[in-house]
Amino acid sequence: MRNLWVVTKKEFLGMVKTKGFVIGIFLGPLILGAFMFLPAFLARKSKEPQLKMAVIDKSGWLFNKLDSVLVDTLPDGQRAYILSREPYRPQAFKEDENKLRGRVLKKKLDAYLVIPAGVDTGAPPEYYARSVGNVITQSRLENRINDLLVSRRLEAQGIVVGNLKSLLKETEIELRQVTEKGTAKTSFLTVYLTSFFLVMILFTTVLGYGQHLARSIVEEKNTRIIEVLTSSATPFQLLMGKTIGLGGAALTAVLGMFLLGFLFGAPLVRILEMENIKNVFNPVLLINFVLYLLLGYFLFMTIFTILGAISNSDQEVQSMVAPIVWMMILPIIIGFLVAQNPNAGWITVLSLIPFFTPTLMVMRISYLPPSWPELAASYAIMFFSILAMGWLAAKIYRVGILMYGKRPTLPELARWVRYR
Amino acid sequence: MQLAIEQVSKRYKGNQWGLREFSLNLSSGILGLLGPNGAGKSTLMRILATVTKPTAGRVTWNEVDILRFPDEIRQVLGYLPQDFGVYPNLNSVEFLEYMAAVKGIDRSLARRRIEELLQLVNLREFRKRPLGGFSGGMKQRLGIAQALLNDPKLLIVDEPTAGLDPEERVRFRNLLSELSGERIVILSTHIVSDVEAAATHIALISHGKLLMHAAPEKLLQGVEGKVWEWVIPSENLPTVKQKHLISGTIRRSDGLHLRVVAEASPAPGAQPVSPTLEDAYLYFISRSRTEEER
Repeated sequence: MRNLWVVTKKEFLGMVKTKGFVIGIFLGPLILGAFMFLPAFLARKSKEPQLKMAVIDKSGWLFNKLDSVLVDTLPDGQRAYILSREPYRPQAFKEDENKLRGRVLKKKLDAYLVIPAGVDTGAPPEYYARSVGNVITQSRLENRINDLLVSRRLEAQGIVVGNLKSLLKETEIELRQVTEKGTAKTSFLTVYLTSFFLVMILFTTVLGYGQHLARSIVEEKNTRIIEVLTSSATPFQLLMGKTIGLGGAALTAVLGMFLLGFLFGAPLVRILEMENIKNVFNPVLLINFVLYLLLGYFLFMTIFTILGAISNSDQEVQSMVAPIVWMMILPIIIGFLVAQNPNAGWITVLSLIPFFTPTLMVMRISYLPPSWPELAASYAIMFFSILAMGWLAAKIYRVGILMYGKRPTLPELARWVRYR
Repeated sequence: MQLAIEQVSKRYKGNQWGLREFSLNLSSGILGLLGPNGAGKSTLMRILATVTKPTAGRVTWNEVDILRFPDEIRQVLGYLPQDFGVYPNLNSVEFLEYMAAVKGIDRSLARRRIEELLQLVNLREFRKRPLGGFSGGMKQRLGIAQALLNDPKLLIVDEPTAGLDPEERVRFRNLLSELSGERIVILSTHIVSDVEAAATHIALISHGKLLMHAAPEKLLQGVEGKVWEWVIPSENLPTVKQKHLISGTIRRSDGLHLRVVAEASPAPGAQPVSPTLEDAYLYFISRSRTEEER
């Protein structure tokens, strides 16, 4: 027990006393947050440039109407779109179009639009530009042209509409999540990004500390310090000490991040316009997150222990990390499907497979907490999986730390497990 | 103080034997464990240090079976493995404090002991320098210090002078001699001069088997009258090498002066000379190989 404590303390202090650990607590969530929230935020806040667009109107009626309704303005009050009508000459259309293409390439025009003669019967207008990534302009053009087409079709039926926009005014549904305590205002984007943020913290923590554990095992093995240590303590004490010490450091880092978030996160949340995030970050989610983080940590540490014990260098460890990354990343890849139906049968089954449980369960709880029996079952499966994998890892570690040279084959590993 | 190794064997996969029915009884003094690479020296040391378990046999420390009760020997054990390295981010004091804690040494006692040992191994002025910047010799000296932390009754050192410069080597040999008193020191090496300088007893080991366990004088007696100095033209060396066991060559103006280990004079002109431990080592190892080949 004394040795366990000594090794735990050394690993914990060895990690938390480094500058990287302290910097990681501050920078980790900032960098993660920047990757996730900043692009959307910047897109929202970025200045839209004025767009010059030429229009060849083969229909003969749409240009004037479009010019009168495409009146969006920029923040400085100028029109967002400057439309210019180009004459439609059927016999010289190709030539005219070539000229327009040349003007676009020379940046004298940003785009040109060709409205077909049969636009009101379903022929699609064609938009030509150097960049086809301007989805906002595309969306605005589609909406306005569709409104004009609907008005024209209604008029053809004898229905005169004064203001189609007010007639067809759309509404947005305000999301309120029903919980046992009542209802809470939320939005899909907030829930999605929050669950993604938590899963990424879980993923980076487990992966980062796991690799550290494997590297530390390789280091002790290569320096033969392990031989001195095992002449004073049992391999099990050393392994448990390492795992618990690093686990303590990982938990400290995550709690440090949360504490900083609670202390200094409010202004950031206002800037990102995600005030309803407090309704998502509820105690049930946070408690479960910490528990799944710990269980996930211990489960994956057993794999990293095996990796460290069978490797002779950091490079060998790195070459075997990819399958673990995939195990952890799979739930993130299917995250959108989880969001759509968190309690789907296949998702429930997948979330009870121990290596997927931590990330999938954190996602599911963010959207719609599973039933208590399901949660309890996932905890029980995780717990027993850790015991089983821990037993296996300890057996392999005990032999692997004293083996140098060639990486063992699977039959050799099986033999290590059977060693008495 | 008694360390008894009784019929210890260690078998690896593919029916390879690290040790085979190895028996040895040791009491206070320095045992020089000599043998070629792969002879089983490190395997024996790991078993004695409770790092690994034998496939068969028994090891007792003061009549207590250390395979069943490893803590009995761990409390009094100092161990320096071959190619010993360090944690690069720690300094000497932090490293020794950690090793002392694992060995269960009281904190205040450990601090006192660390200061003494850093002085002893000449590392005091580097006590706060990260170990990543230590030379091979400095790491080795630190390894020796960690092995001595608990003032061990059984000190096992595997190739301890590898990487040390000549001055450090002499210093280490003297240190071992000073330490020998009321403890058992097992010094494994294939540098015969290290053993010659420090050992009170020598165990020769080859292919996992004990060939001989005796005082150095006894070993020398075994090759008395079997070592010859023979001067030959240098171009004859390849032919002579094929026929005789040569323990040394010195080039002089009159030709090559060979030290030949042989039961009888290798040539009419060869003169008998006093044997060294190196001659004895080569003689017994070579004899065991010949017997095995038969």
